[in-house]
Amino acid sequence: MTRLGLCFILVRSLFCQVPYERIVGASAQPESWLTYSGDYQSRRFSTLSQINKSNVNRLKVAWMYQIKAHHKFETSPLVFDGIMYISEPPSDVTAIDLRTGRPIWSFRRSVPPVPVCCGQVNRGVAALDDQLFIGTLDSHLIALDLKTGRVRWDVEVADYKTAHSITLAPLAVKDKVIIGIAGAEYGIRGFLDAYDAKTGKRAWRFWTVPGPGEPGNETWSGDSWQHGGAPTWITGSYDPEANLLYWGTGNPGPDYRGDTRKGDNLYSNCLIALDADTGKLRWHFQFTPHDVNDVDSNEIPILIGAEFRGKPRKLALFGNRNGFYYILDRLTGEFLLAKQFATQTWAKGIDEHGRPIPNPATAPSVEGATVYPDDDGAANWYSPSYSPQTGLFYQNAREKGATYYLTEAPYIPGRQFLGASRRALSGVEPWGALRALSALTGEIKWEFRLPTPPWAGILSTAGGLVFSADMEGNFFALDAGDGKFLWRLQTGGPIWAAPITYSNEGKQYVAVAAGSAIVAFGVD
Amino acid sequence: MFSVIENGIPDTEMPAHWFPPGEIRQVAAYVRTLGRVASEKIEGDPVRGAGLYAGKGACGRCHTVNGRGGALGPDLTDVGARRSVPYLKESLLDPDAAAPEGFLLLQLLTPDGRRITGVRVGEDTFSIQIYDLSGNFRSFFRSELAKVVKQPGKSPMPSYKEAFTTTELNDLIAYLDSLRGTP
Repeated sequence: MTRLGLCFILVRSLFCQVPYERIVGASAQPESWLTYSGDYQSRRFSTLSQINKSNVNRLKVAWMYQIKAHHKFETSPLVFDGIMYISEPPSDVTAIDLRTGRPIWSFRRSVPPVPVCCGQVNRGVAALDDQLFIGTLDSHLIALDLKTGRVRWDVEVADYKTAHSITLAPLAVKDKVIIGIAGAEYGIRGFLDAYDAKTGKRAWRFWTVPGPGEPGNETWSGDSWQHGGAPTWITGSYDPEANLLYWGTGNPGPDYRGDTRKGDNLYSNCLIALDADTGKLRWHFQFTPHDVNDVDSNEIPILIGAEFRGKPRKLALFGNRNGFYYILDRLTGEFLLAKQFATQTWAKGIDEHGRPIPNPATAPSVEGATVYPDDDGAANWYSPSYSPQTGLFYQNAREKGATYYLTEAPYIPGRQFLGASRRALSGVEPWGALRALSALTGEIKWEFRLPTPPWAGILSTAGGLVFSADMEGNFFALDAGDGKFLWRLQTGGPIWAAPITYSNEGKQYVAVAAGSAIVAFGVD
Repeated sequence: MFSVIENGIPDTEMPAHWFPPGEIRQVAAYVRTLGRVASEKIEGDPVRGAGLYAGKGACGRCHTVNGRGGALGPDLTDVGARRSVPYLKESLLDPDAAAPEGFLLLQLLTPDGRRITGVRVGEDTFSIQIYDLSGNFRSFFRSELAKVVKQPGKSPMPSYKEAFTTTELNDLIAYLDSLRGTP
């Protein structure tokens, strides 16, 4: 073999891999989509501008790929080197040819009947070097060969029979794969794990509910920490310079009975910052201490750098399920700002330290207490977006309340551990809106109303566009600056997922999971 | 029923259940095998009631029995098995008090001032579909409408309190109670 030939093979081989350095530089490769949210900062923003305000009205379907299952389809694809990688519910993976939409390979896994609160879903995969990683509903983490989809290693993260499940896309960082866990509605004790990408050996575990003798355990009365929840079921963000992972945690358990777990219940409903090498806690900020309304902080922190009140800072932006938008200093965890972005009644306000002033009248009671938002939240796991072009933080907001009646909540392994029943509000139709917030003040600049509360994520682009969707199947584009409607397509199925964009053979595409299909759009 | 099991019934003792969709469907299928309302002794004559349903009451303009009729209101093919006599009576005398779920009354106003009233068939961010009060299917993009007014809890059905005598009312209720579904 000639030197040139060997070089070609080497270059091709290297190019068709995803080394860590390539993910760090994701924003400089807008033709690809390399992490769940597009980059480590989780902006879900692309510098691609070929599809823009002047031609988006000519956006057409390029191809569709139909999945086999009929579960909610929540995947956010990865795209690189001519191939799209998606997860299919409950725990499958398919590689798709970008030119034709034809499948290249599929990894299929049958899963046992796992107790899950909210559907047999999966939100995507992670890539690192020559491997893909998927977390499965029955709580395994699996490494697949990038070219063939064949299993390299398969490790059990937790026992599915006690209702541990994995629904989030992993995040690959350096030589590790970070994976979270779900199951707070069933009384799990939450954690965030890191695994060696090459061997599958667990590198560290951070318990999001501290055990006896650990800082924070004193915020749980008695033995309540044992089933304290605080799950980690949506993909977080990473700052390579600070080497810190930023991850949202979910509700304490039981969801609605605070009397059985007196205290702040750390680290439930927090944003936690962990050293990516060791899993050691650097800082935490608890949005909703002693939550009794199930307002998880399983949302996605967006990392930006900006001058804030006259001082350059590294910030974490967070649209919280509790109805408030937060800005934190992401190096220290210092609270900087909270601003309400949707209807909420559970708090009378937020004090100067970022601690909410609860409204006790909204806590679940035997007689029934009505609260906004309901347990689906003012926001939820679905992706927000930040555009450096407009300086706006785009958040889908849900306007929906409910009434909660206290019930008993005995812990039985694998059974729901809630402590209340929910009833919809009589005569009130819930609704929603895509809201554009000034990223540095939280002020709502504009909104685009939706007839029902949305579950779709948001993509913003340098083409001056914002893409999102409604539950009735409309995928649409708005002017990122003023929210003016520009384009839509009725896809025929509810959209539970976040759009992405990429470029193939010099042409930009936008893709989203809609109904039971991945749909790729391009301009003729 | 799916929605009832998932969300409960507001302001009643029926709680929400966080079952997966498949299990909700299984529970719904089971519940459908239960709870059929027993036939009650009623003063009216169901044969005369059938005539009133088809004639003076014009009920078939909006309701369906055995696949025939309109779509503005609920299918009544098995209403006697599902609803008690007091409920049927209330529905006829005070329709707003028993407005059925899934039949939201809308008033649509066009830019040229036309007002169109109907029952919602579907709605999304960009469009609305209705059956107008003549039972015609109508579809609108929101951009074609000046205003959309929703009237939850209001029924398009008129009260039969004045239109029917007590005897006629009993006859109609007897007919509705006799509707027990397709064998």
